[in-house]
Amino acid sequence: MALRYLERQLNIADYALSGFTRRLGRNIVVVVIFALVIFMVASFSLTTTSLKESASRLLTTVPDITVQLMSAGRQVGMSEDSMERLNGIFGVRSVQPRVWGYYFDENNGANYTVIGQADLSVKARLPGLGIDALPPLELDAKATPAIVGHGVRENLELGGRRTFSLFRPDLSLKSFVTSGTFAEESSMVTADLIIMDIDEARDLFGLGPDEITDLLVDVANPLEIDTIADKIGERLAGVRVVTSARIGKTYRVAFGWRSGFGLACLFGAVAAFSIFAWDKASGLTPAQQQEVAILKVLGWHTEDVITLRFWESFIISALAFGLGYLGAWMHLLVFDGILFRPLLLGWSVLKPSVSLVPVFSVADLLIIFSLSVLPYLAATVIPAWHSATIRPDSVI
Amino acid sequence: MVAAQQKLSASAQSEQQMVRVVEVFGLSDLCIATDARYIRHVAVSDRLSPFMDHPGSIEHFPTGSFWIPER
Repeated sequence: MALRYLERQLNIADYALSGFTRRLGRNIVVVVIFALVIFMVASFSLTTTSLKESASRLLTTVPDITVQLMSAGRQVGMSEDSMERLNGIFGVRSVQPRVWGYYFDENNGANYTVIGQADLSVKARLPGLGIDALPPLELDAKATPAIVGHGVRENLELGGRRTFSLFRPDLSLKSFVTSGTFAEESSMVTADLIIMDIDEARDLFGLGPDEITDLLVDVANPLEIDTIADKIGERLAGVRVVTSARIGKTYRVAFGWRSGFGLACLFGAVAAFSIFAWDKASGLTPAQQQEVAILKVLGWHTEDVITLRFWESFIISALAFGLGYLGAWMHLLVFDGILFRPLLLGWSVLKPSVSLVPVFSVADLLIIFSLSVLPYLAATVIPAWHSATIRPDSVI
Repeated sequence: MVAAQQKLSASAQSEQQMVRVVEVFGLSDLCIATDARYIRHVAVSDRLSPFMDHPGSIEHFPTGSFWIPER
């Protein structure tokens, strides 16, 4: 019984395939447009999944707690004395002050992230950082050692030089000497960084001698992070406390369909499917009506014609789905998401080399399948029934 | 998928470096775009940051359309 049913389905599918080749031109256009829509949706889905995956793999060692002072809804500098108020909190392993900010390079319009760290000379020598360390340089004038990202080095057009200068707020020049460069492979976190000693960063930004921008708190037991964050919030008035869990959550929800571009992709797909559905529902051509009539005269039942229409729709949508998804995969893997890159980088002058690796996810595949193939099949149900109930004598 | 796996394993060493850099320098964010500050450091921003340039300011960076503001 099952074998007979399968054989019948195969025969109908075979007939549907021969029908596909009879209307080859029209069907190819439908498949190509359908595949392009799926390509856009799948590319977006793969890009966002890839970025989420990168964030979850790279940001596993972010500070347990970051403390920043807020005033009038903006982050402002805080006093280094605030550290002392955290000393009594049980479970805090260490508290590090930090100065960081943005430096706008007027020469080329790039933004750099400047970070001032205590004990920089010790940290820079730690193994596994991928810093291309350079020997100390004897210079006539005093120059501050700084570790720079690969993108900064390119943007400053340093070439073989090691020295560069940045402006203080009073427009006096501060000289730096590159003591190391982050490897290009680590650009996804270091491309725009200039790391220097904390006092030198204060000098560059014109901050006071004990002024800092945030505190990095290391907690001994990860289970106590939330409790300690609450205690810090109680001890220091007006601070924003960012925990490592919140950073993870931010990146888990940062990419998806609710973003402006995601919605544009989604609406584009919905609009395209609506046009397909309208095209299908708007009736059959005389040739198609004649075909159905002949089939019915030959002994086909209404059920057979509906099955035939299902197979026709399935072949078109599955082919388009396969092509679109494969195209999206290649887009990320071979072309590194070249179509989305202008949007990902936006107006960035310093362009980090973001490496996108597509990640296979059954959930994503099912979402794209549900968004593309299923609506197309659903849209063909009523037209299929209409076409199947044609009276042969009214057409022939 | 095989090519993706190869690309992933090729980046395994650089991934270790990046994880270590994040740990040592206390970084909080990926460096994907460097135009808008609230996109460069989205984890230490809030959903009002894009509108803080001046009263009535609208979010205008193209990169903003790729990201969902934090709740």
